[in-house]
Amino acid sequence: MQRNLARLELVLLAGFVVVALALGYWQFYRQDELLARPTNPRIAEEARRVVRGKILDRTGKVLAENVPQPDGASERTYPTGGLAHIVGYHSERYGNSGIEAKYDDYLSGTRSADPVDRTISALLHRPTVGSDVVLTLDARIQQAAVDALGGNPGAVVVLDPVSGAVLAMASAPTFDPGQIDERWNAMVNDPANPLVNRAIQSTYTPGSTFKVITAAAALDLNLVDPGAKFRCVDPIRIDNLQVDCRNHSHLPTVDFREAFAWSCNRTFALTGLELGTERLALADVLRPPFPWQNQLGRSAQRLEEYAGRFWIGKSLPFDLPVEPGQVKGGGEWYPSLLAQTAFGQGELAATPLQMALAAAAIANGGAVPAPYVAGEARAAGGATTSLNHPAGTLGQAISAKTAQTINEMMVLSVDTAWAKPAAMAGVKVGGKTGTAEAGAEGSTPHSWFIGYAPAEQPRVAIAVIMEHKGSGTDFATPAAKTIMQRALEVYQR
Amino acid sequence: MRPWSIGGARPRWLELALLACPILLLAIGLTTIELSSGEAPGSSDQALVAALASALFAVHCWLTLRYPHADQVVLPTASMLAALSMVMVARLEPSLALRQAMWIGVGSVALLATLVILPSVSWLRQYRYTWAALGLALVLSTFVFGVDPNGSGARLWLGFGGVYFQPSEILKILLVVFFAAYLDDYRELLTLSSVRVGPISLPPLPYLTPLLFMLAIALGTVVMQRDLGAALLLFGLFLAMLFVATGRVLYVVGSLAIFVLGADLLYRLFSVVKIRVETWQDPWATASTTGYQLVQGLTALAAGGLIGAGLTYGYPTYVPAVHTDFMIAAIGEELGLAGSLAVVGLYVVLVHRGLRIAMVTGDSFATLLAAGLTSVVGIQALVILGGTLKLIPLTGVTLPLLSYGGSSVLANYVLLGLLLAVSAEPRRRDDAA
Repeated sequence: MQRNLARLELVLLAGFVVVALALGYWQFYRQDELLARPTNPRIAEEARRVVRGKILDRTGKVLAENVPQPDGASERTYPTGGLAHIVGYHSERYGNSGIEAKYDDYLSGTRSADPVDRTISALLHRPTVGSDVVLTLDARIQQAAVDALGGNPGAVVVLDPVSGAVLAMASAPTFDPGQIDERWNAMVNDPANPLVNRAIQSTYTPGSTFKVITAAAALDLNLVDPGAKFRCVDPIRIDNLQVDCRNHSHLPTVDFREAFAWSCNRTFALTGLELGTERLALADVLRPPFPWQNQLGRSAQRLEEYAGRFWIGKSLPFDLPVEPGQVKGGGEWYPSLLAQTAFGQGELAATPLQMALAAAAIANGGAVPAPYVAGEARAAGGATTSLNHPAGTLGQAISAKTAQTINEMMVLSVDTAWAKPAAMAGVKVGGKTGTAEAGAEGSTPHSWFIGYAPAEQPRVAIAVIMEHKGSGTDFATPAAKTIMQRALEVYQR
Repeated sequence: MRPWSIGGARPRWLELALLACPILLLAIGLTTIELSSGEAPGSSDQALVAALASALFAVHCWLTLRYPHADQVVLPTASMLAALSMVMVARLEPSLALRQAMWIGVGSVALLATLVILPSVSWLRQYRYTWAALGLALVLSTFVFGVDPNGSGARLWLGFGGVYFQPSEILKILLVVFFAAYLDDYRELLTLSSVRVGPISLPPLPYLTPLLFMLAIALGTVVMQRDLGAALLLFGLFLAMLFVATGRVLYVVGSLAIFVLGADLLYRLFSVVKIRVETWQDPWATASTTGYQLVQGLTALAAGGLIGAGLTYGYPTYVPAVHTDFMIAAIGEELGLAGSLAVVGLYVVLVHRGLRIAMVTGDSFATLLAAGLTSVVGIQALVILGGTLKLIPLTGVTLPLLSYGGSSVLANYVLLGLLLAVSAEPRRRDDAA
């Protein structure tokens, strides 16, 4: 029987060897794959145990934090209102949005501003404490922006035109990020789309604010003498489109600066059409053959190029995804479309952030600042990691000289023309209004304003849009003024 | 006689030294659990450690006095598993920790009682049919008095006075004794003679009849009660003992053929068997229903990795029955591959020592008895580990000496007592001679 016993032992041993190999297979070889499956409850368990990092504004004011609950868990709360879109929400069921999503790795502690401390904590089974994320936003400016919108659908973007730091980004209507789990269906199905961040996810017809870019192209290409007067009265006809001078009916003769300040559609339609020529012909009454007839393709190409230099129709690098918008849809260029595009209508579409950047570029000597809203991640121990966009600038859109000329034109608009409601005592303001026709025929236009202050040494740039509110002069412009005033009071670079 | 011996006593230094390991394991384990909850280790932990130490010391002393030549590795190895069991139950189901400790205490008493009461190993052999009848009576009584205290759907328990136990746990030991005695009687006949049918030589089937009859009743009963794990264990045990007794591969092949036919029949007859097989093939397809336990068990093992999350730092309680059948998942998650392999290593040591006892005992009944007892532990461990690791379809049996559960603990300690008694047998015979 000895031999039989030895054989039995061999069989049993073989069984245990197979078991040992299977343990190695599941615990080591297939470990990562099994843990990544949705059947693993540890992912949610661990997330629940993490002390999620706070989100702070530039002054250290708490925008989002975890508050311990009586049952031992902790609940994400948002003590400062009006920031739902940019700060975002954090929900176990519906995921994250905004900064909560973008910097979830830092907030949840899977990445840390202090990697050494994180490793030690993991080894010692200390509860994971996420890093705080410090934003460039200022809650006070944000509040001014929310107040100025007054609940009207629309958006406000305020940024530092030199550094690109976003100081405020408001979108209306808004939602309560603390109520995501409770009111998700209502929020998703609300026809007003409260979850959409209109500042970066909605594209709008920019209206006359786009004239900044058309003017930039003409001046940068040296096609026009900004001080040369020309007669500008009679409407012109392009295809079936009639473009008139009703915006400055009291001024029969203007120079390019005044045409800009008074937002003359006729002048800018001609500017767009003639961008491909050597010299703009803006004087009165033109009959065929029109000077642009053989240059249409070149004009359109130049307008597109300059729009692109201001990141219209391009993917703008930012902490959160920005809709690219467009200069034109899928079709071909034709004269009336180019004319309309040049004064800000046509098929143009841009986000409020892109338009704020256009104003900032003018204020910043023609360089487009790289926008960013997340400043740094700060570990519990105090170590920090910069989350800043490393570029600083996204490139020179136009020459500093051109920028200076447009700066003067925008100041002229605030001092003397349609942007007057933005004027402040003791501070020179540059600005451009826009009244963008959008939506169904006959519906109230979008009210736009883009600008900056102080004009000599700009500290803040702004874009305001109020959907279907009326003229830019009457609504967006005074709103922008109050926001900029508040920003100049509280913001030091 | 040497000067330090008292009567027939001889010191068992190896066992005494090795017994420090389970006591240390229990002390460290319980302290770790307390510290991780942020509390100072309480006096109840010290009492548990002291209780285990004194129980082991008592058994050790009795062995030293009465069975000085008994194997010195079996008790410490089994005690390691018992200590780990107490630690893991305290970690997984703190409310059951004291009960498990109590059961291990009762088990130690049963082990001692076995050693004290048992006149000699051959005494077991004399009453072979009594054991068989007792086993049958136990199993059959579950049909009449069987209860289902924890709602598992199978009436596998007998209960009186609020205490429940699983007769199949006792049955396996009674069957080992009966098989050993019967096979010892007819070993030569079964090995040598054969009935020739043409070119094939068949075993003398008539001599196997009582054995097969007993097996059929036992198997039939547990299968009727859907206790498939016990059925698999009893069948494996029968096969192992038959092979040890006869060494005839034909028996093994024939039995396996019958097993395949029987398994196929069960697969067709019982939906529960079909579900088990389908779950085994792809547990993730039903990860929230029938595959839940297996999937969560494997996920817990994966979560442990090489060194584990650390005691109390994993989430093993997501696995159903983790403190009983799926104990290895909790050990794998919190103590890692290192811990789970250590458990496998302990079983290997136990099986190796058990079969060594069988080899050296010198008496053919004792050999078969020791081989059978060892096989019970080895096969039962393989059945549940294989099921947990998706090597074979999952059938519910306890992980010997590790799982929480009174009857399982009790039966395994009686089994250890018998094994130790067998290991001491040759020298006792010599001393008596």
